[in-house]
Amino acid sequence: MELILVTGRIVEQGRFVEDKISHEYENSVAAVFLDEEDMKVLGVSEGDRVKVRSEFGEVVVKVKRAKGRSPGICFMPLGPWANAVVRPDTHGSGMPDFKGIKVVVEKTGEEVTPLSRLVPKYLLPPRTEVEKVPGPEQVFTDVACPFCGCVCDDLVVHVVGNRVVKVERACVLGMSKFLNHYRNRILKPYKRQGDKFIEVPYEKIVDEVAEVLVNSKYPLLFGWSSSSNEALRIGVKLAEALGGVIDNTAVFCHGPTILAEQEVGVVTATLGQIKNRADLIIYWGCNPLAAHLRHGVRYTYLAQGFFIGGRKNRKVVVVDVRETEIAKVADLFIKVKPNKDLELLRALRAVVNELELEVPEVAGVPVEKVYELAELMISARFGVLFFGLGITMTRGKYWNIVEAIRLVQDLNKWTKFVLIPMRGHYNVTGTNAALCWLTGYPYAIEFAKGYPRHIPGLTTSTDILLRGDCDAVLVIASDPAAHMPKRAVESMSKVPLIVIDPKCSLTACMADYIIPSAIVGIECEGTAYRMDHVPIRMRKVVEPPPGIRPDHVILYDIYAKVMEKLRR
Amino acid sequence: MEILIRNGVVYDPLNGIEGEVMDIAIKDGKIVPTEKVDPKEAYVIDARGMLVVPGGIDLHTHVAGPKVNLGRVMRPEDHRVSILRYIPGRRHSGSGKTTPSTTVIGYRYIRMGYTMIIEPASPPIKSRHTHEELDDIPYVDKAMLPLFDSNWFILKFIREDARDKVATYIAWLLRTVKGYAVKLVDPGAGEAWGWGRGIGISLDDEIPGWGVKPRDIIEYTLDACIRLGIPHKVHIHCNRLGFPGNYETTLETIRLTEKFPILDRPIMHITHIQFNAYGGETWGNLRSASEELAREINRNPRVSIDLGQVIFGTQTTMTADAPYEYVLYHLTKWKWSSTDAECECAAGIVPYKYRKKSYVNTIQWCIGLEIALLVRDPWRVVISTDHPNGGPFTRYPWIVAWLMSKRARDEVMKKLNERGLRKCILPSIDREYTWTEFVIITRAAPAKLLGLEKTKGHLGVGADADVAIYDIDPREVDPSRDYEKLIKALRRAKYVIKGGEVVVKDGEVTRVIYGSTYYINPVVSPDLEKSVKAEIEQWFKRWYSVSLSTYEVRIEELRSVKEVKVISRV
Amino acid sequence: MVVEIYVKPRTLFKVPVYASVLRPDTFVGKSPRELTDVYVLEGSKKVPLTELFDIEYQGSVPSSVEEITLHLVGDFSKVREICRRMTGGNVIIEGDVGAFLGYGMTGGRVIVRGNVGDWLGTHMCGGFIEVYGDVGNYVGASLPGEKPGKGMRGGIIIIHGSAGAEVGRGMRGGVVVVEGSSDALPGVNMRGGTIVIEGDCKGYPGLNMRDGRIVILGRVDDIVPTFYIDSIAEKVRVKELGREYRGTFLLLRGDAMADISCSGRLFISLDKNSHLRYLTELLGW
Repeated sequence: MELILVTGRIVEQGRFVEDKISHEYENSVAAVFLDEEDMKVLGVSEGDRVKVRSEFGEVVVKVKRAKGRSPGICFMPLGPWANAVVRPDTHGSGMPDFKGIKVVVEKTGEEVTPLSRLVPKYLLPPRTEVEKVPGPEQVFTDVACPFCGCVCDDLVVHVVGNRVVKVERACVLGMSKFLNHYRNRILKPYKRQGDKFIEVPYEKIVDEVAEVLVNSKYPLLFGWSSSSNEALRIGVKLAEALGGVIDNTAVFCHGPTILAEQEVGVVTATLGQIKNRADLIIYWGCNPLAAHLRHGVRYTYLAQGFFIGGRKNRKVVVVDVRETEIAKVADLFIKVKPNKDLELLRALRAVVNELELEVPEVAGVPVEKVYELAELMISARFGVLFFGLGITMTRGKYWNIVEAIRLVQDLNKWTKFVLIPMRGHYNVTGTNAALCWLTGYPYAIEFAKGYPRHIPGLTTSTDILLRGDCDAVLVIASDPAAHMPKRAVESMSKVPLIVIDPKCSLTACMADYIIPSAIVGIECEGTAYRMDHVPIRMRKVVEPPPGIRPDHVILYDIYAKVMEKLRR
Repeated sequence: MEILIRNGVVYDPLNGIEGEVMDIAIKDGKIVPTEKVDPKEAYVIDARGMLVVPGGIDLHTHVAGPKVNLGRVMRPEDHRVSILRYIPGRRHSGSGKTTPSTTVIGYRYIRMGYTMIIEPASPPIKSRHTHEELDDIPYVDKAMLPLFDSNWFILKFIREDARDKVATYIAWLLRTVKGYAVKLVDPGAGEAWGWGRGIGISLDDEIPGWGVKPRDIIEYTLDACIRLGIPHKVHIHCNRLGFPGNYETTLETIRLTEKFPILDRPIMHITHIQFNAYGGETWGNLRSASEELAREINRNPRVSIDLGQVIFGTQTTMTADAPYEYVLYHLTKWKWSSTDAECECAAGIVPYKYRKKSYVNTIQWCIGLEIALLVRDPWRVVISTDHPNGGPFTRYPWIVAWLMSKRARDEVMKKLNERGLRKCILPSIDREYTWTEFVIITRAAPAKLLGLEKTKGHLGVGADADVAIYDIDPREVDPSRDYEKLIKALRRAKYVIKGGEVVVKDGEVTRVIYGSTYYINPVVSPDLEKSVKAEIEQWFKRWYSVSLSTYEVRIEELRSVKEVKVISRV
Repeated sequence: MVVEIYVKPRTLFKVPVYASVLRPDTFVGKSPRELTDVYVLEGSKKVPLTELFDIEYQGSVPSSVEEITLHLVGDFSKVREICRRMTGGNVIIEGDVGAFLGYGMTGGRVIVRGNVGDWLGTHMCGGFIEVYGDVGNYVGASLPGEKPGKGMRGGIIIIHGSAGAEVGRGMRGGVVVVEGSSDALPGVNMRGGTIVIEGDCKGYPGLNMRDGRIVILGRVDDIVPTFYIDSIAEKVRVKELGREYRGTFLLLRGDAMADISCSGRLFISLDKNSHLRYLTELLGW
């Protein structure tokens, strides 16, 4: 059966993202959500296995029933299974086509594709739980959560010895990160040798890693978004000294938003403004109930603000290709055809600027609905447009965001309107900000010529990997093996790969060198920026396991060794 | 390190030295009596025929913080035209002409002989960001001014007529976010912009939802700062900036100071006054109102100013005057950014080109210089371009030349709009700044206005060893005639010493060092402190979207901190 | 008096090579021995040109670019900025080429028998480029953040294969012809010039266009809603190429969102785009 594939985040994928080797992760992520009618036509029921095939690859996953209606569309959670079939092409934007891909889905008897077939060079490093150390009970208040871009900093964390035992106020995603902090850990530095990982003393691995980096001509330093600004600021120095490329996860998340800001600017506000004033909240191409769970209650439609408060005083509009959880909560849900958001945004702009629309429908939306939404926007007292991967990943890429920003700029002629991107990782915003003040560009920065350069399609890490341009990769605080298209992941397996991470990520299973680090926000402090650029101090609530250092210490040691070798 | 600067032509107005040939001795980061340094052991700089002055201080330059960074994001084309190459061990790389990256900022300032900069507008809720950027700017000492103009606590306490609370809150905020003075930008406009309003708000317009007027904000904060006894008090970007006829608002703002006594230093600093010195009613009949303003400033010693001089070319305007940036967007129709900071303030960014043949831009260019030349007291005048709004700070040597040489001004005016020139009095001004006056407005005056004249802005014993040596002999060169030589020398200092270390030699940096961040800690009565803190905690939870504990920027987070403690009467 | 200069890579490059010196201008007045002080970048390492490439002259030392025909033979797919700011002469490339070919070119002729990477002819002012193969994204484009109209402003680019996204982005003048198909958004931010796509187009031609012409002979998946039908045209002439395209074209004007005077013209073949037939009804057909 031919369907359009859309990939995205779901709560379960977020809950188990810290242990991708677990059964729970596979059960949640190796799945495809089908519309109930489409399931009948296909002759499958929940739990059956299907093969999903595109012109780029194929994969076998389990069937799940979509919670809302979405005929013609199938949804797969972000992860290595989806990435086997998405289109790797970025069209020069750095962002692969993760949504809106034509696929063929058919029932199959084959087993679910194992990770070992999706992750090249797959080898499980020794991973374990941190041993429990008894100690006094402590309660920490106003703790900031190191998961998503909401960075809720009202958490109460109960600690006994070196274990977090209870977390109050966190959503299930944040709670999962805190309560499982001691699980799936790598506790020693390892080096791949043949078909196993051997333990290497810290000083020696730092030396070997520095040697690899110094000998490479075009290394890529990728990740950063789940670590602190302090770590990033050293990473930039390292990339500069090596003449390599430094990039963060925005490249496959809100990189297009940044590219759009480069073209037209942005009209935005901090989340407190929304809480205190906004009476119209639009969620376009994003599903906070899957990825930013407390967004509504802390900042938007459920928040109690100064000038306005409560659900009934605010209107919620959702625009998406399928009926998501947030769509069910909305006062107005507009279903748009996949890959056609640009037309709908443009039509709204036309109406706001009093131009005629000569067509009966736009992007699958009847023109009366377009006028209705435009009217809602113009008559709002304070409107906000939150947007996500639904428009950064689809056709048009950053031009979709340019249109959204221009729409908000145009609306300011009538009323107060702002837009805020739903940033994914808790510090993707901070690392973009730090990259920008240090180099002049917010991401995808190349130092080969001795000064910073930024060219989408050329210096973006996804494109570098797809073309096989780099000859060494250092991955820190992210898991590209799980979140990049398969072809890019394969490219990473062909060159020396260094991983710095607290957990056994999928990228660690591909690595040649692994240096374990402490978890920022739980085991060490650091600065992170919320999705609206508010800088928040991440706290330390437990001691890191013995011998485990924070990212910025590891990076500094590598940098010092690299400088030493370069001087010779 | 011990340094001996021999036989330089020294200008040190704070100590009354005007062109004396003398030696300057440096030890352990401070200026010391020459006997304390052994010429055989010390690093000797032969400064014969060279100008030796204290390091420059830029009182108002937008170089760090969230809106500056957003300016960088939205101007990649600005970064491609100007780059700085990596030199291992000596300097980091960077890019950017009007929105430079942090390395470039520090590098360009120190090469010009500037050793301290003030970031003049930081939203308190994002101050950690401002400090992170300031920490990454090499060489110079720095401070930042938090924005108070639409702050909900200020508005609340003003509405309650609780003067003590206004003062206590100001003290608390300065200490908490590590700021240096009170910054007001278009008071009240930021809050109005929260509803998309506030364009051209004047002193008596009520701020929607609060029943408070901009006039009240200025008056109460002036009062609070005087009682707190902080040295640099209210640093204000006046209401109605950029609008024709706005000079009247500026005059009214200046007159607000008259109910306060004359103290040993000014109480109000009007920043980039050029943008607030417009006569006329429309853009079509805009004229210069510098005479009216200069007359008022000459009369009233409570006011100091910096110029906001315009430089022709494409610049990037970025201010906390968000409504005005919206107006500018409609004039330029290209890129526009606007950001709101909850309960505090707002900001806007728009690229803008100043053209020589433009009537309006010609008048703007003239006004900045006119005011500097008409105000008689150089101790209340500071050079600035409101970087990057009027132009990049690297153009200060040109501004010095325009002030010190009528011929230099005439050369520029030959290429400007003739109708515009007729609306200005610059063509008829003959005054030329002297060497002493130039040193005052770039070094001694800002140091004094900041209250740092003990350690900054002079070369007397006990001062921080921040020294700039320029390859120009003031006894030989007539700046009025040879202004090109003046510009050349001031662009690239021959030597710059920062904190007692030689960081620039023969016009090029020798290594990377970092300066310190200065902040003010006004100490108020503990009872008042306690009760206001309780109110802050109560309202903070309801108004803000972050916790109060993250709001505080702790000293450990900063690279190097210098606290200026002030015991106040509150 | 023609001098033929042959340049061949000595190895297969693994990382990007920045070789903007590979253009006729570099070789003017230089004998092979004098090439030792010409450098390129292999990744971040500065190396002499002659270390990475074999260079052979057939003829004497050239005294002007017009005398030079530069032959680049081999796999140049990782080599970037070839013919950067080229002012004249001939370049023939037998093999694939990397990004930024002909960046800021002002004159001369470049023929490629192979595929070309992204950013071909960026900021081109004049000259002629012909590609017997496919090209990447951003042909004849402006760079990120630049004002519309800073792209290609003169010269001719002919692509016999297909092209990527944003052909002619921010273009101001000149002609780009793609004989194969193109990805989405050709002519975005266009201010002048002519783009012809003889094959299919993935959608949204002329977004934010103010002036210039875009001609699409194949199928266009979707158009921008703020283009308005003007008339039916029967031919489109591209005089720089001496070509005339005949057929039944929907002539749309736009982009109304960029400029209400709608000076930009979009010609779309009616035969291949039956899904756009509804536009003819608006003409009263």
